[in-house]
Formats: sequence, C-alpha cells, structure tokens
Amino acid sequence: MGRSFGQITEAHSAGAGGLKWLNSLRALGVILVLVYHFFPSFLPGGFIGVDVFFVVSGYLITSLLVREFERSGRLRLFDFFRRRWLRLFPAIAAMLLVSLPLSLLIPSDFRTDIARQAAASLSWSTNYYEIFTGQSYEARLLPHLFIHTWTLSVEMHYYLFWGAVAAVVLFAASRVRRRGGASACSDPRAAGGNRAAARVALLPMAVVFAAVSVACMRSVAARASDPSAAYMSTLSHIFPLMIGSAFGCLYGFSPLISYGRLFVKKNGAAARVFRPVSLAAAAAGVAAIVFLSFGFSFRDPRVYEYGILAVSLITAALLCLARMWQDLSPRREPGVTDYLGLRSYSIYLLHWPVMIVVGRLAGRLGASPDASSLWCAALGIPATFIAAELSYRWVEQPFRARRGPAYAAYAAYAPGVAVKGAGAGKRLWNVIPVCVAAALIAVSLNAVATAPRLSDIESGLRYGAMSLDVSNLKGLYSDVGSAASTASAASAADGSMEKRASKDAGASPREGGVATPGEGGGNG
Amino acid sequence: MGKGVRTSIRVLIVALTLLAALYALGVVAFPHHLASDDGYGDRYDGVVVRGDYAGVVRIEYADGAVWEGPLAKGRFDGKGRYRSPEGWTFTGEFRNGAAHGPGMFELPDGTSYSFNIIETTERSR
Repeated sequence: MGRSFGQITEAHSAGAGGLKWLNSLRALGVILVLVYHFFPSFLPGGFIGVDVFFVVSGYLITSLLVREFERSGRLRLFDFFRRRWLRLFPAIAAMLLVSLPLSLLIPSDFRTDIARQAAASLSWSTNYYEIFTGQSYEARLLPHLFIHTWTLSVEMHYYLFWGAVAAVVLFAASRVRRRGGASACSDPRAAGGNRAAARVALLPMAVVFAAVSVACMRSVAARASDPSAAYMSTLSHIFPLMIGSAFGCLYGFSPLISYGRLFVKKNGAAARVFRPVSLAAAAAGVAAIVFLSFGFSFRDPRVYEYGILAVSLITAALLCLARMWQDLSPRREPGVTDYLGLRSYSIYLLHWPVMIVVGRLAGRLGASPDASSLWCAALGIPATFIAAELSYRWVEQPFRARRGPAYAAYAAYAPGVAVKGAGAGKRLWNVIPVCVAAALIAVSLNAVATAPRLSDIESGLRYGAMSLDVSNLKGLYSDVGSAASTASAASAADGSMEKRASKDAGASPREGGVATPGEGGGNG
Repeated sequence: MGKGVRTSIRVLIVALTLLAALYALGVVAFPHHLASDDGYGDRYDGVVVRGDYAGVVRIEYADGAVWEGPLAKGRFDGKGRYRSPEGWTFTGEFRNGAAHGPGMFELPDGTSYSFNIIETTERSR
C-alpha cells in the first residue's frame, strides 16, 4: 500500500499521468522569489511567489489525502506525517550542512545565535523564532541565514493541523454513512458516494479556516508598523494553503469531472472555444501575478488587505486550468519549467544562504554597492542552481525513490525499509558520501560552537556591579568606620563596638533610613 | 530489531524535534560559562543563561578588588563577598545592589564589625 501511494506522489508531481502543469506554477513561484531576493529594487513584490507555492502545496496535499481515503477507506495519519517529514527534512539538513561551513567565510556576526536558528529550521519553528526575536523579514544589514525556512514552518504546521482535521472529518463521515446505509464492503458504489460526501465535508472547513486566517492577517497587519509578524505567523498566513486545500477537495469529484469533460472533449465545439480562451486566461493569470509583484512591496498595506488573497485565488484558478488541460493536451510541459519546478524546493532552500555569503564576499572584494549586487547575482544564481541540482540529485530524489547512499544511511536505522539497488558491491561507494557528510557535520558543528551568542550581544549582557554597588559598599564601610571611631577608644571590647556599630548602622526605624551612600559618617 | 526499533526511532525524532523547537523559541535555555571583560578593565567570570549571569560570579576589578557572589541584572544580589583594594572584606547579603540584612566587615588588622542592615535608600548626587 505504501509503495503505491509513493507512486501516486511521484506521478502527481512528476507529471507522468499526474497533474502536469504544477511544475510550471512552482517554477513561477521560485523565479519570483529568486528575483525578489537578488534584485529587490527591480521586483519589490516578488515575495508573493511564496504564496503560489502555498496554494500548489495545499492543493496537492489535500488531493493526496482525499485519494488515499477514497482508495482505502481510511487515512493513515502517522504514515502521512512520516512521508511529509521525509519529504522536507533531508533537504533542510543538507542545506544546513552546506550553509554552516560556508558561513565561516563571512564575518562571525552573521552567525550570531546560529545554534537557535539551526534548531528552529530543523524543528519547524523558524517563523515564531524570527517573530519572537523581533527580526523584520526585510532586515538586510545582518540577515539571518535561515530566515527563509519560515515557509517550511508554516507548511509543516499546515500538515500537522490539516492532516489531523482531515483524519477526523473523513473518519467521522465514513462512520456516519456506514451506520446509515449498506456497509462499505458490500456496495462499492455506495462507498464511493460516501467517500465523495466525506471529501465535500472537508471543503467548507477549508473555506472557513481560510476566512479566519485572512481576517487574522488583515487585523494583525493593520495594527502593526512592521507586517513581519502577520506575514510569518502560521495562523495569519495559512490561508493560501487552505485555499489550495479547498480546490484539492474537489479533485476527482465526479460531477465536476463530467462537467469539465464537456469543455475538453478533444474535438468538441466547446473544446475549440475552450482552448484559446483557457490559454488566454492562463496567460492573464500569470501576467497578473507578475504585475502584482512589480507593483507590491513588503510594507504596502494593500498586500495584507487583499494582495496575498488575490494572488492565492489567481493561483487556484490557474490550478483549475491546469487540471482541465491535463485531459486536453497530450503534450508535456516545457522542459525549462519542468526542470525548475522539480528543483524548486532545493533552489528555494539554498538560494538564500548562498546569496548572503556570495553577496558579502562580493562586497568585500571592494565592489561598489550596485556592482556588488550584480556580482552577487552573477555568482550567486549559478552557484544556487549548481548546489540545488546536487541537492535534488543526491538528497531529495533518493529519499523519494528510496535509493541512494543518503537513504541507505537512513534505512540502516529503520530496518524493514527497503532500499533499491543496495548490494554488497555498492558499500565502497557508500563510504565516500559518509565521509563527506561526516566532514560537513564536523565543520558545521564548529561553525555553531564558535558563533557569537545572541544572549551575550544582542540582548546586552549586563555588567552593572561596577561603580554604583561598589561605591555603596565603600560608603557603608566608611559609615561603619566612623561610627566605630566615635565610640570609645579602640581598646574597647569588640562586642560593644559591634553593638554600637549595629545600632548606628541599623538605626532605621526611627530615622527612616540608614546607610546612605555618599554621606560619610553622617548617620550616627 | 524491527518494528520496535522503528517506533522508538520515530518517538526519538519527535522528541528531539520538540526539544529543538523549545530551544529555538527560548523556552529551554542552556547555560554556558563565560569569562569576559566589561570594557572598563573588570573581568567577569561566571555562568550565563538567557543574557544574565546566574549563580556565583567572580569579578576581578581593574583596581584590584574582587567580588564573589551572585548577580541579578548586573547588581550584587544574594550572599556574596567583596574584597576591596585596601584590604578590607565585606561578607554579607545584598538585595538589588545594596547591602541588606546581616553583614560583616573584616579589616586587615583582624577587627571585624557585623551588623544588620534593614533598609538602604540611595541618594542621587
């Protein structure tokens, strides 16, 4: 069962019989984000590429959940979580093992508190870490190396939340129908209807959650001068994922499919009209998104009032078009967008730390600010693509296809998990990646250990007991000393001197105050 | 080896992820030892948690004085000892930087004064 779902996942995203044009949407998203980060003044609103990703992801995940439920009548929640974790985690770990050694090339200030940032990336809490430490999303002077993993935090929170909701809803719906009608096993058609009904039960929930999230973003962003908290917080930014989920609920919904087929039956009259119209609509949608990324900027309040919502809805419409095109066009999508879309995750993960390191190095070489940003892009973008290709080939793909040395290392600790192509002869090849990984881990740990700590610098380690407390004490000393000397001669017993000293020094109830510093002997 | 190992690895992964999240968000903090200079020639040596010294701190002042005792927000706090450059030593309890409660001065010649501070008011100059 597990392997067939793996195949569904592959087919779904790789385009072989799955939804073909998803990769083009992902390519659009990643290009927008890349241009936004490397050329921020050129495309100040490119951060909306992230929301394109979110909608696609919501759609994909929900359709997967629905299909699993449809085929097996149940949703294996922990299996779902495990697959999601395996999809996201290895690439993040690889990104860290590459970025941390690279960060040793730039001033150590960039590594301030890097231990907590790395921990946040690996535990899906970057968004709240950045919010709590007050970092603005747009901080560019000393940007955090892993701040871009905030989107993965939101994604994982969405998986946890929506997976649980879907499990409960689908389970409840299946129980209700089974009690009311024929058992699921005896009547497959009733079962299909029952599952479709369960699926439609998810749709209103997705819409409601989306609406709540939109309201949350609008209210939080309206009240704050820096919209970073609204932007990165899960509750206020989950609605693109929920909008995608709503459309994912409709996937495979038979009435919709038969209706859609009317439009795409290849030689029908409707199809002849539909083709150019849908092409124009798709072009308009993409153009609208690009236009918005030129027009928006991070602090523009319109982004949070309706901008991100608009981008999400346009992306959802493009998804619907893609779904319809799947039956219409036998052609594969263009190679470029396919390539970019498949590697979009690795490209997104690696471009930000690479950009910071390359940008800082380019600046250090003495280039002027404008030239250095050009150098940063000229060197950083190819470096990103090379690193992303390696990450895709050596980390992402093997984990999804369950082969390769990285996966073999994981499988060694999870017996029972099959590794394809593993054999005695391959063991020597496995040694090289293990050594490389060990070296990267060692250098990364060193980078973390030698990093300045946030607590010592940014929050200001408090050195206080310097002048005031010491002078308090010295004043007390001279008070006591003079009180002792006004007592009778030095030969008097220590005991009576002590008593007198305490009387003078401690004479507060009547006088309302005692050892006042700066007043030598004045108290007695 | 088998299902039990797999389950325990998954539990371990979840537990580590949770711990990492708590650490990242500052809920869990790991103290570390720090010896540093405050910029005025005084050396502070102690354990730091979340941006403040915790436990006993040893301060060696530029003028030769020594403090051994706890700090709170950078002020003397709790039971500590200050040895002045002139040679006298004060051992006592502090609250918010000022002596509070029982305390004792020890002079180099061996005499000592002990007393009990009830209240201290600070005057600005």
